[in-house]
Amino acid sequence: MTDRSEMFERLKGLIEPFNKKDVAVTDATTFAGDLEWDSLTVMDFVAEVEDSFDIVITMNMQAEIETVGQLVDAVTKLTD
Amino acid sequence: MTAKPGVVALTGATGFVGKMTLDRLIDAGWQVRALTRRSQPKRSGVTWVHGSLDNLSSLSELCLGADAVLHVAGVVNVPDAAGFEAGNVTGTANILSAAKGAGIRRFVHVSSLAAKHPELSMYGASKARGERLVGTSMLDWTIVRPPGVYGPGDHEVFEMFRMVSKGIALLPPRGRGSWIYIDDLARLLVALLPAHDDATAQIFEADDGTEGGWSHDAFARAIGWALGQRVTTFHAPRFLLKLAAVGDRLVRGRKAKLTPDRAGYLSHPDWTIDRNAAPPAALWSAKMQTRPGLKETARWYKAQGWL
Repeated sequence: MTDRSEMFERLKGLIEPFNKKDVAVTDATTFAGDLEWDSLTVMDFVAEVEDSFDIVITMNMQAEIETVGQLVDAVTKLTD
Repeated sequence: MTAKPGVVALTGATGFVGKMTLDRLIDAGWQVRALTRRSQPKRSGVTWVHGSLDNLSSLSELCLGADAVLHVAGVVNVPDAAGFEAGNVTGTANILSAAKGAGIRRFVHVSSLAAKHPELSMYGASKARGERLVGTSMLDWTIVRPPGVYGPGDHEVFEMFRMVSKGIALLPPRGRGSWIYIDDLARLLVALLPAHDDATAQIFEADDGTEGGWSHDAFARAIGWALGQRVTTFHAPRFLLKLAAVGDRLVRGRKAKLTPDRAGYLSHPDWTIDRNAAPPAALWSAKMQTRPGLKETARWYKAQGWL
């Protein structure tokens, strides 16, 4: 359980520089709807996450991730 | 076998690949809406839309009433990373968003083998980022990564024909590459356009079927054969290629063919396609093998007075 909240906090930290509208970030926050990120911002953010965790998020995986919570779960799985 | 042709929004229609693709689309019965910066001669089956990839309203107009988008446009030769980003990444984001806005589902994207190694060049990096945008777009997409493209009308491989016609070929460091004849690439793009289960969310690498591709040396000799010219080949060491690239930039400026960025990926030893990523044979197969293709190309250059 702590593992997941740690992961959430790390990812929240990576989201912040891209969070230009200061949207409150929760598990349910969506990247396109709530954060209002366009596709280029999403791509730059994903690159940032990949570099930080030394993982590869495939295009298929990325296409399925809509919320912060889903990202937390996906990155947790990839770093296991 | 395939759905009947409808209306396609085409970018890059005035470039080398796009021009031939436009011809093949019309042959196949597609109504084409084609993006252009400059006025183009009227042509039956073609609606020219004035605009560019950085002009969102022109892209919306381009997509108006279209059933599919064929995104051929891209930049191969700009001076800096910002230019590659604008042309190959932002431009792709813009046409994707126009396609979505128009309710279009089908999107065929022309990338490059260079996207497989984004670390080698700004060009490859920008093509990889463009692919990523397409691949995460939630549209019904297909990406094609052509290897070396040659054929009538091409200015790039022409440089090699010109060198070889003088009996010499200064080549990149030893390596291999795959090739495809322009007409085969154009037919592939047209074949991929109707929605097709085997093509959805696929990245295809397609060449002319030459197993293992061609060594740079053998390819130069094959051009010599096509021209009826004996040729002496030299492989430039990596540093010399870089140096020559800087020189070309100094001499020809923005028109330089051999840029430092291009020297970066030319030096890579393996630019052959992955045959496991070839398009399904039921959909397309190459018709033109390399040697007859080079012969055809040489004939065209001579007929046009280029050689």
